[in-house]
Amino acid sequence: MSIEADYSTDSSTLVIRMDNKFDFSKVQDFRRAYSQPDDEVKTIVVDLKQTEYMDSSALGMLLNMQKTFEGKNIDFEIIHCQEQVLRILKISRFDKKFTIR
Amino acid sequence: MDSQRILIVDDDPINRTLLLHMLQQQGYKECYEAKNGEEAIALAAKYNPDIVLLDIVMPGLDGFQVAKHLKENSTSYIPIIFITASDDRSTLLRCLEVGGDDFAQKPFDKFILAAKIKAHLRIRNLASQIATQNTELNTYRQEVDREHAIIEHIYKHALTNPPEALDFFDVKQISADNFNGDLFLTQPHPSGGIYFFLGDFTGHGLASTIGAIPVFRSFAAMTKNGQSVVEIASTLNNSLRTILPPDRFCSAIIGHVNDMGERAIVWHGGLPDMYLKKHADDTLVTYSAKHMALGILSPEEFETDCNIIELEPRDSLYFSSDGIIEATPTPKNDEEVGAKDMLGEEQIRQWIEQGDDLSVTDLLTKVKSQLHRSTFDDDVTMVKFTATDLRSLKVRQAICRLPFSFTVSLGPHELRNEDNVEQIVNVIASQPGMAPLRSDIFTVLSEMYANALEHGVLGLDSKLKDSPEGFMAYYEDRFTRLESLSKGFVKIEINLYPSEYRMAISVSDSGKGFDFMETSIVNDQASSGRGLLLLSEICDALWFEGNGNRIVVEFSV
Repeated sequence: MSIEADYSTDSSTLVIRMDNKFDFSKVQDFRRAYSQPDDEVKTIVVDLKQTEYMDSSALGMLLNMQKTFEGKNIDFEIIHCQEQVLRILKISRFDKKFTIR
Repeated sequence: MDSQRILIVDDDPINRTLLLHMLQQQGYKECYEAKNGEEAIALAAKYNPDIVLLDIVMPGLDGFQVAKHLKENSTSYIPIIFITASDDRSTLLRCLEVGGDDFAQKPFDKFILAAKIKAHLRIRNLASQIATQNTELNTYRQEVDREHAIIEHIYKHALTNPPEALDFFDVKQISADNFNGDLFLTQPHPSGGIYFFLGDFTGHGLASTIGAIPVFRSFAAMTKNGQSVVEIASTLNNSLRTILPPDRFCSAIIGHVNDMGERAIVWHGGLPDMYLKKHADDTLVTYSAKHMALGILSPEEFETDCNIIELEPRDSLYFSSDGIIEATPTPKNDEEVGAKDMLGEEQIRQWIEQGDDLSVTDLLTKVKSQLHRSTFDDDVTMVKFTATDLRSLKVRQAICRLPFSFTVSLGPHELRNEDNVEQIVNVIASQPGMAPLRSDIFTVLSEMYANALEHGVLGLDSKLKDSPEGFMAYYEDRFTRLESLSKGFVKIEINLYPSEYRMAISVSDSGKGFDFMETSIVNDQASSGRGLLLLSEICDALWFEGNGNRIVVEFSV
């Protein structure tokens, strides 16, 4: 399993699909997934459908991604969360900074 | 011509001979002659004729009496043609009144009479075909009833919801047929919390319930493992897509409410709107279907976005199959009722919004009185869930009764493995009664281990993570320092105290520790420090020992 990144046909949305474990071991791959963004990008979606475990380093990686795009007016979404992942995001109050759905 | 039996009844031998001759000319081989009424009845009983040619005036029983007797005692339709010399209207009418099917006047025209006989035999044949088909239908009907009874028995015994979970729902199901095409399932989540499934298979009756057993089985198996709504939806979609014919599918709502009863995750495909009625301020939130029904899309096309619904105690979720919103008023006289007369989602929404904590029965009563009907043409299911603490549903699988202790000390060589936490969690979660805690133990131990390794053993400073460049540098440092690590350890101890239903996990490291009294609450911007926040939220207690290089957490099991 690995991380996949795809643009929507109009290049406005970048979807990053994580695999079963979202922790520090993904730090390089995750950054690479958004490292050369298209100028058209308006929304970055992190799809956690496969993700069973995430830890606080993953939270850091998500925030780090937001900081990288500071001032660029991009929406960030986290989708398809499983219960434990959602719990971690809620405890960490990530719903204030990301659209979680 | 297959053998048709004809009974000739006449007291006049000349008439009998004329008739017999004519019939033989027409090819009827089996003709019987009776010279009076009594003999006619005896011969009819013996030979079961296909048609009777009957004289009216005879000594003894007359033709009217014979006709009445034959009609009353025959198990099948037997045509009777009166042969009469009379042209009196009332006599002719009487022929038909007593059960005769036709009459021919003497002297008879043999062509007309032959044609009449042919016509009546045709009717007789039709009647006997219908009788045979009726018998077959009855037999078939009995077989179907018997099969239905067997399947009903299987459904009743195979598709049962655990009562402890069902108790949390207010559910009413009304079937349009013996079999309900709607399926409501619920199961407890192994670590507290509850799952629910409402499905509406295409159509109603037996065919619509075919998918119910595989759905029930998969749902029961997956919920038992604590799998996510997303996984359940994908699995059910794939299995229904495989087993159902292409024109059949299943609209569904699949949901999970967490153990505290404060959050529902709901996959919604093709069913009417779901409503959240907030208890605090009586407001209503509508959640519409996001997806197509189950069993249509391929795994690549299938989407699993869920609604995440925050709940407070006594908030209610209402959802239903389309039988209610598509219900129409009982037609008056010949009025046509159609889509424009359907009750509609808006009406239901208004009732829930304006009502004061309506029960499902209250709502169905309103529907029936609005539509002036007592039954529905489609299967109807309505469900209400009221948010409450669901921790009582936690599967109290007997935990290991012996207090145990698990200790592992990891040196530089082991610390370079990436799956240490996973391996330890596998050991602990495989102990009796521990499986439901797997996710929490994993999260807690991951955080403690990462802190001990990164800050304690490797001496990394999390302040580095504050900028994007520093963040990457931090993890690069982590990698290089770990590669060259030659001394240091992380020690993990896990203790289970079964009599107190308590588990303690401590992690200590070879580092110099830190001033834990100075630890501040993290702010929302920080890229670090969230691990401790997670720990304190998940665990019942958390403290540091020594010079801060030993952390202990406790939680209940």
